[in-house]
Amino acid sequence: MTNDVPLPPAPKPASNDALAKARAAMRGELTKRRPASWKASVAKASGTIIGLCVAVAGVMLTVGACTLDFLSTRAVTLAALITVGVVTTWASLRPQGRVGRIASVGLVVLAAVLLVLMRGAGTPSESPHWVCTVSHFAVGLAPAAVVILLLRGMAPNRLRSIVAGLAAGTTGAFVGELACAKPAGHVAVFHLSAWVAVALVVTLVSSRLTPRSYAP
Amino acid sequence: MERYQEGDAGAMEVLFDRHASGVHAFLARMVQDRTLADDLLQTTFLSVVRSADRYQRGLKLVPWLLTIAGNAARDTLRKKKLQVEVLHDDDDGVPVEPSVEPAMSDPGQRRRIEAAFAQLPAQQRECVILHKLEGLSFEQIAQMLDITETAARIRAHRGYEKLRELLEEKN
Repeated sequence: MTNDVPLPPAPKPASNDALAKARAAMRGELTKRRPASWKASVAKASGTIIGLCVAVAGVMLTVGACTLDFLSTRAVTLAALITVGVVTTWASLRPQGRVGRIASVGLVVLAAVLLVLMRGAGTPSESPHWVCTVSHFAVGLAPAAVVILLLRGMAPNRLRSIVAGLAAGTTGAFVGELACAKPAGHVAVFHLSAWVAVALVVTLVSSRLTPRSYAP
Repeated sequence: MERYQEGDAGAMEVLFDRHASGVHAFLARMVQDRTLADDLLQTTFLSVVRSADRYQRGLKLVPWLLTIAGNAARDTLRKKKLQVEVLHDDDDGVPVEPSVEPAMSDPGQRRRIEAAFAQLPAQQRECVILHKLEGLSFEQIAQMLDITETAARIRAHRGYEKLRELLEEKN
């Protein structure tokens, strides 16, 4: 390592004025209520994702848009999606944990492959393909808003934002499993693109917001 | 930090007394601008209070504080697209307050080093500061910056190389 190059001498010490201002700001913050812990944030985001999935399933059962028999045939993929949603939420919001975030992206890819493979031939339908993309994207926006707000409480990090966006996008994929019976090719293109779009929106929006904290 | 997490609000004052100057020195080197460093010091300690629960027991405190300060500095530089001021050898008539104490015996050499240092890309400058001036290991730097240890080594190595090239050009 060629680290024998000279470096600038020590900077001038902080002025008393600068230190006093920083201390006053810190004291002001200390008088406020302590913010929720990161575990509470994980619970909030996971709760939103699970709650939305359960609500959509409940509404569809109530209005007769799907049956319990149909739900049982999709049980594996539905359970996998909820698990992926919770795990990716945890990976995205916890302090540190770069390896966990990379692993959770791998988990999402696995889940996406599972969704396509489990669908097989499916059932043709006359509704346009794009309806799925738009509706899944729209469903994903509510949890996306929640994770974007929570991401403001930590240092900006692109991988973290992508994983949080993928977590939010699981809700759209869940709806796709409940409401669509089209073949695997349709799932691969029109369902997964909505999932990716939600992740992109979260990444883009969170990169433009000023964080409330820069803690890792 | 652990005392604060356990409910002792006064512990944060002690933390500030012990570490504010060191964090400010790190920020001044990172952004090469004393006024901006003053603002970022405030941002750093606001972040510490707001995210106290994100400090994990057993972590070394100074690297954690410098991680927060570094994140704030990088994000601010990126958002403002701040061009770090480069002090040129030729005098353009604009008085510039030196950001370092004039302790080095040769003022010309001090200016050259400072100018070269300011020209380093922010990521390389940060790795050089953390490694050489803060004395952190590459493992610690990697953890702080959320990158691999190899990436931290490469950034620092490129920073040293670039600094050497710039100083040779100026000499």
